Amino acid sequence: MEVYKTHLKNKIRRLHESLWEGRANGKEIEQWLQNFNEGENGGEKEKLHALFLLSNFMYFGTREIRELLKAIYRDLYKYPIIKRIRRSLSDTLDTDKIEEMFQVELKKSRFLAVGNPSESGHHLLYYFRQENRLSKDVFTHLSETFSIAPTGPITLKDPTIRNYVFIDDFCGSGQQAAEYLSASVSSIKALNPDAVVSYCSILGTKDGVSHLRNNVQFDKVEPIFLLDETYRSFAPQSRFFDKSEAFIDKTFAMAMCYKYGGRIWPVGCDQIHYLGWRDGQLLIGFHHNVPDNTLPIIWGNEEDSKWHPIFKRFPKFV
Amino acid sequence: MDYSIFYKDDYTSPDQVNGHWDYFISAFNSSDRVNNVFDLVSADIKYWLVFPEYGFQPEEVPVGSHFLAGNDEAECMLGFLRQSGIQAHHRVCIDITGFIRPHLIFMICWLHGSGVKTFDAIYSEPSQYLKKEDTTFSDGKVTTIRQVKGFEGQHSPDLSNDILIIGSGYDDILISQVAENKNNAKKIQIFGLPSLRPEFYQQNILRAELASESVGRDTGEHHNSYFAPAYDPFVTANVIAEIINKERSMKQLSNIYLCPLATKAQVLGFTIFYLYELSEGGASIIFPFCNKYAKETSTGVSRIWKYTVELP
Amino acid sequence: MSTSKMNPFTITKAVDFSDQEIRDYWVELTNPASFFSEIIKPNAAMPMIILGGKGSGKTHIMRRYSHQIQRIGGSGSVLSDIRTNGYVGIYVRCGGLNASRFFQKGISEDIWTATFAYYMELWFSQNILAVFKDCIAELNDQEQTERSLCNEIEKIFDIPPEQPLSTLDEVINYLSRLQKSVDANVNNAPFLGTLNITVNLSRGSLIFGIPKLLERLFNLENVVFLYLIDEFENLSINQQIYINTLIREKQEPASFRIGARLYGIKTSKTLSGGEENREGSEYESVYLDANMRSWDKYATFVRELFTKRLSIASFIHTETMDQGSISKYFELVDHDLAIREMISRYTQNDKPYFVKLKDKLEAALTKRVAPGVSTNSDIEKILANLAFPQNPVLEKCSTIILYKGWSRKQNLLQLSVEIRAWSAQHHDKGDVPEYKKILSYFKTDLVAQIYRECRNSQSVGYTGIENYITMSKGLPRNFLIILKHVYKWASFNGEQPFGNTPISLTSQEQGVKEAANWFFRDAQIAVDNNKYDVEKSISMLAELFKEIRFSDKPAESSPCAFSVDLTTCTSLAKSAILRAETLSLLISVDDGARQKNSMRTVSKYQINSMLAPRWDLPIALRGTIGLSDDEVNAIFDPNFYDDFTRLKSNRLSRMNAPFQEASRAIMSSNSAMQSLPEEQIELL
Repeated sequence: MEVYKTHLKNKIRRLHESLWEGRANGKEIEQWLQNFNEGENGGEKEKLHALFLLSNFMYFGTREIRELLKAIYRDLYKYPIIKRIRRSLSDTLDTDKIEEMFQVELKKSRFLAVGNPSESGHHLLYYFRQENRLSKDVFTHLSETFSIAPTGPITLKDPTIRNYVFIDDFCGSGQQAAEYLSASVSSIKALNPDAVVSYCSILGTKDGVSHLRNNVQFDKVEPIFLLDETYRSFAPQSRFFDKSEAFIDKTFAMAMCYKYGGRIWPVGCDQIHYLGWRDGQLLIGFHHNVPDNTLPIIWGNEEDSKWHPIFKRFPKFV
Repeated sequence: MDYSIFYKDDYTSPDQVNGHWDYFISAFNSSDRVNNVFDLVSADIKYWLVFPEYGFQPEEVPVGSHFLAGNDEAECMLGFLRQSGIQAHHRVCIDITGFIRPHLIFMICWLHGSGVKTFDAIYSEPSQYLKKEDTTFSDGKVTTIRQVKGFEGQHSPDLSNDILIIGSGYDDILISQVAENKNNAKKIQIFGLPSLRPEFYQQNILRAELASESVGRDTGEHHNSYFAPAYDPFVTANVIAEIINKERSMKQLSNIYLCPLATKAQVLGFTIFYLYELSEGGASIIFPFCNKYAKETSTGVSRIWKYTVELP
Repeated sequence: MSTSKMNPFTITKAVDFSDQEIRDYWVELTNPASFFSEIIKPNAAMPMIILGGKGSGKTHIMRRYSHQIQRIGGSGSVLSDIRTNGYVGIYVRCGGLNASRFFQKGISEDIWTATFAYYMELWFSQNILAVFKDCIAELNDQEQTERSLCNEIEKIFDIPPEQPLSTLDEVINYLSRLQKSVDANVNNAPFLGTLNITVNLSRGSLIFGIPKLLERLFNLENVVFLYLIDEFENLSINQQIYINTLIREKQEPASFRIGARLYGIKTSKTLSGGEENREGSEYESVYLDANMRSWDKYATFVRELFTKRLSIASFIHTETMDQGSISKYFELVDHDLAIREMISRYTQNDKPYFVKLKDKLEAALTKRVAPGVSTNSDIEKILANLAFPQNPVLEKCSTIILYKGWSRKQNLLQLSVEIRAWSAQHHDKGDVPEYKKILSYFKTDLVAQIYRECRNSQSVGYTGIENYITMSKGLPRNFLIILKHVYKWASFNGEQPFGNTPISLTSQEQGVKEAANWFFRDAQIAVDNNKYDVEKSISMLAELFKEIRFSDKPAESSPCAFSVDLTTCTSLAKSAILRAETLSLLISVDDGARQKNSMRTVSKYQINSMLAPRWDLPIALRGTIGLSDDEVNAIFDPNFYDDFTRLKSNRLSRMNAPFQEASRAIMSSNSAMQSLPEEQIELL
């Protein structure tokens, strides 16, 4: 078991050096492991399972986020337009002509963040603009989309806009985005039925994407990475436990996470959240935050619950 | 040239792949994804190619499969292509998923040389790799590191500013082999991001990191690594263009080496770029040749892509 | 990360250095003479082959003597500097030739040989002219000399160029066009099945002709034109034959320095009537690794390397450091103290070596194979007699003596009584022969055993810079790699390496282990067409040594080397051993000294001590273990791999309680015993 533990620590160290932007160094890991102290030998088995889960954590650093924002623009927004333009020009190879027509479309597009200006969506949009070298003119805020005359109906500020693209980092359950956007999207579609309203995210769970598709009038909901059921740590088809490791017990790991999750969430919190918001059971995080759909043992907050996180989460304060 | 204007479509199952071709060519392997596509694609003539590196026995492959034989990728593929009946005007579709990389690269050269202007390539993404970051694709020793036939270039004796662009996949041993073979060249790696699945990127980096000593100075220095989608040959070609333009802007390049070791989709991108922009100069595609490859390394099917490749 | 400073040992390869950095990072011990110029002998006309493993510094040295590096910090006049130095180095990498293109494609070997020879002329001449192109401006009669040179070069061609060449640029461009024409033909060969090349030069005409012209026209008398041909292993056999021919047919003022990996020389044949080049006659050879290993200043050299790296990275502000100051950067361990502290955490009965002994005695009791032991009470008495809490190492030693007696079928209960008296006596007076012998030969192994029993690891035995120097085994790069990984782990663990506090033992252990794993992986990054599996063989060999080292009664102290008769094992086994040597996984201990009282030649090899942490092996070489032919074949010949487990078990059975197979094993391994020199007959 010691050999396997060393192997896990080594893997995490390599992740720390190459991908995790220097986070989760040796000292922080030791401190985090102190959280797991129940059972024989000071929680030896718990510590091992904690390391195993941490070694499967997917972290998206600044560089990766920027690249994936480029991918959202290039693959999810721009390419379908390019394809359509090129077909309309009889499959021309004249890239200048194609670009010229694309610029016309771009000017009629608007990119928006999800959430209010203090939330992460807006800094994402900033990176999005930088990476894709876009003019400020193609960015707007939801509040800038509509005109509300003192008397009279709500109208679109610019009814010529053909594409509204909402950019987000993560679609978990989809509920937050739906609450925030549903009414506005419906208004846009009502005022301009020809407008294409899209929601594009870096990551999205299958359930979350479904929720948005079913509850918001988006024309397109598409993440770069779709997280199906196999990304839930303890799902029957979990991809983290499909390789049988000699010392790792999925049932034990789940029970451990559930136990500590219950202590991390505030008292009275619904048990459904003990393994991450709405039973998310995820192992993902971003440079700027860790979604609460991720297992709480990763991000549990030391002020509230005396838990040393390994990747800190910055909760939204309501 | 902006290669991203080339057409590509993605599907969730093989029966959605639309089109009809005169010839459909696929490399036999054990995976369902490759076999299902072969069955469902619409073509007048279909060929299964059996690569000796996979070690299949006659009883393991469909009747009528073509066993490739020859000393190298040129002999193997010419032995098939010259009797295949394929001509310049034919509509050709290739499932590149199971192809051995140098053979795929050579075949595209042959198609180009034969006057074929466009062909379709199908690529089926895996859902998971069986051994995650421990997955190896090559199963044997590296027996030689050399240029792929047809892509040998005209290199300069001045080696003062050589670059080696590696499409870095999971096979860290292959990355090390080729990096050390071109010891003096500046190594630039292209990593697959977006990757085929979100965790593949992390697994890829972990494996490639094992080769960091061989790759050399650029460890941790971001300007020597780039990203291109693992599933997009055309954006990959654009990224290679970006790399070369940037390197040229800093100093005149003496020799350029390309080595695609990642997904077959990226292999396609490397090849396309070479044919369009590097075939006249001091540039070549090099490869660490193995005598054996694993028959199956993945499970499940994610997306299926169809790329319409337009040759120069 | 706890330190914002870059790892000063990040760059470990010469190729990653710019020309200026090659100069800046160069460490030369100039007292009494330059070690490296003694290796290269740049002014000597005799060609030389320089063989070095990965990390031996071969490329670094060769580049150091290239013109590009030599001119940095020169007087400003390139020609004057060349005259002063007495040589000019033209550095050529074989990797740049991409020579594997000249192969098969339906073309015969003879045609490829001729084509390659022609290509080499064009390639080399472009290189040498590029060096001298910039010197033209220094000449008094620049135009006249340049034109003369160009005219003379034109005459070398069988078919002169269509347009006369009057500048060196034009000559170089012409050569480049010819070369590219060859490239185009070679590239198209797979499709056409033929080559359409006119070979316009005879062998050596430009390679030797141009230096002669330069010597005369540029007044470079007594200057050696040194072709520094590196990465020779990238050439095929036939291509190497061609270069060998050039060496044999060498014409002054040109000479050659060939740089190759240890496995890089594939042939000494030439095209001259099938003659072979002979060492001492046509060339000298230098084995860089072996030279470095036997160099008495190696340790000083790597300490200077260490200091230089810290200085350039601004960790220190001095150019020199003494040995003591360097050592202080690394936490050191007092093994006796550490063991005492470790063992003190156990109760007497829980001490790992006693727990093991007790388990073995109990198991043996049920089978009645523990002489003199008939009850559990006897076992308790034995353990009580062996107890010596004041000195854990002595206790451990006592268990070894008991095991030894067990293997000789002595009455264990009676023996334990004697041991009780001996241990007390040895503790007081240090004069008990059994203890003296064991502690003299085996102390390091006993300490390793205790660590392993308590911590499941004994890598603390590899800490400290002096151990790093020993482990690097003459390859400076290995030394740098160890430090690189140690630094990484120290940083990860929140330490401030090379600051005010020494790097912890833990960080050193982790770093050194990672360096060992890296080395094992890296040694195999080489093209390999062979049937054997060197990685597997070394793993088996190392496992065998490990099990010997950690056995109850290790027969050999410090097991990390073996002796073998290469004439009696299979040829595949021999090839695998030699291959492992060229990959530096095995280090030849001597050049195969004749065994005493025997006419057979025994070769001795040590597992590279860089690998020691991977298998908890010792790094210091003491004796060697004589392996039987069967054992050698089982380890190195794929046809006999399946025999390894059985043979290993046979050998180990006489080292592990209850020693039941001992007598049978000794009988069956008689052939092994016969091949062992006297000093290797069991010490225990």
